[in-house]
Amino acid sequence: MDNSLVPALEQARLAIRTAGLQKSNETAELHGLSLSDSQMRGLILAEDESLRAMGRLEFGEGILPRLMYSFCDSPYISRDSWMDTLLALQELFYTFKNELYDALTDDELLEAMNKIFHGRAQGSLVYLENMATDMLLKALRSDGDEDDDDD
Amino acid sequence: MTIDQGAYPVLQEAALTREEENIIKARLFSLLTKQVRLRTQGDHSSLREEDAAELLDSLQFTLRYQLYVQGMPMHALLTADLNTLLRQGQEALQTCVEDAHKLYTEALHSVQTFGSRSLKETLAGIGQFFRAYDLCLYAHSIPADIDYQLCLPVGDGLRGVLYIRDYLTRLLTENKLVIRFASDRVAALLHRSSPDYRDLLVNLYDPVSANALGLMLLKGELQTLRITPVQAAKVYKRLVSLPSAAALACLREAADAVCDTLKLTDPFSNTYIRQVSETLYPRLIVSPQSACGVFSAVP
Repeated sequence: MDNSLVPALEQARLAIRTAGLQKSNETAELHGLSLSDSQMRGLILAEDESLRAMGRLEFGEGILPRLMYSFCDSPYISRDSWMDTLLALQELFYTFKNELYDALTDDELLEAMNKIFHGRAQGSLVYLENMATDMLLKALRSDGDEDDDDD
Repeated sequence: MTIDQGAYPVLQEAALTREEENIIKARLFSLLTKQVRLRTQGDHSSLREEDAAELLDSLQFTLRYQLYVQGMPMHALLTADLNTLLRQGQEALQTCVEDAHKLYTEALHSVQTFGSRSLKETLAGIGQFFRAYDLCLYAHSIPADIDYQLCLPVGDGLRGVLYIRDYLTRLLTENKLVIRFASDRVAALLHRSSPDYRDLLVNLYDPVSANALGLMLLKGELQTLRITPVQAAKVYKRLVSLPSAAALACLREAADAVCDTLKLTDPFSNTYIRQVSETLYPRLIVSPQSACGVFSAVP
């Protein structure tokens, strides 16, 4: 689909997404993680690139604010790695959305990624990148600690 | 005036400037966002491009139809309240669904299939359409298997329920003529025309209307549905002896006479067979043998 929107609309959407990130950033700061304005702009550009690469269109404020809320209290993420972690997580998020044919809602996928990241992946993004996507479904089905499900 | 331009006009694109296109696109994006929420119930904020394109296609189809209903130009999308226009369009399409369903019920009761598998399966497939059609999200789509070929197909511009409604209108129009004849005569003609017609994608109206027109030109007995090679050659000679405009007029007169004789009083039946008669012309003037083929002539 031709997604070339008028500049005014692009500006409006950018403003909404930036505001969403700023709000999440305030929450993340409570956990010692923060982003500069230029980092936020970089994240938005990276998310746009991921969406293009995955052939998806975003109709809301994007997944970045929710990723920040979901992962900002992680013991595996430091101030130095926060930006790179978000870059990787947003790309993984859209990759998983496609690979799972949207079988999981945004919230479910975030929950599954969070469970695995803090469970058997022990904070390893490489693990997340290389795992089979059906593990996301299993993680969501498991009631307790994802790490217990080690089959 | 052709059938497509008359009773069922094709929805036309209007020429818009680049700037106007962009404004409409931006306005549609806002509407599309609402449709995405409806489609995903708020569970997904992003969609695959192809899924979003389907939703956008549906939106545009509904809006264009409402513009057509209200006699408004495409430019109205620049200023009109699109939410209202969309709702009105959906209501208008719902009326079309109800109209189409009435036609379908009528078709189930009146259409004679003469054992045509594709016609039977198509009738069943259209039933599926009414169960699966989603005019809120996929108004442009036709969730039905439609194999049976009409003598005069539905125009390319019609989609969704507009296609189904037009298809059924045409099917019923064709059936009205076919059932004016004794079933055994029709079955015999169909068999002569194509011995495997039951299993093939063969139109039933085509040979029946051709024979009716031929017999009318010959001043023969319509109900026989039977033309000999000698008679076919007579039709050929008569038509080739005339300038094309006169020959076409002759065929149209025959079409009118067929309608009178068979008491097909609705205007669409008349328009339909007139157009069919014109499509027969090039096939009838190739050669006497070709005319024999058109009429499935029997010695």
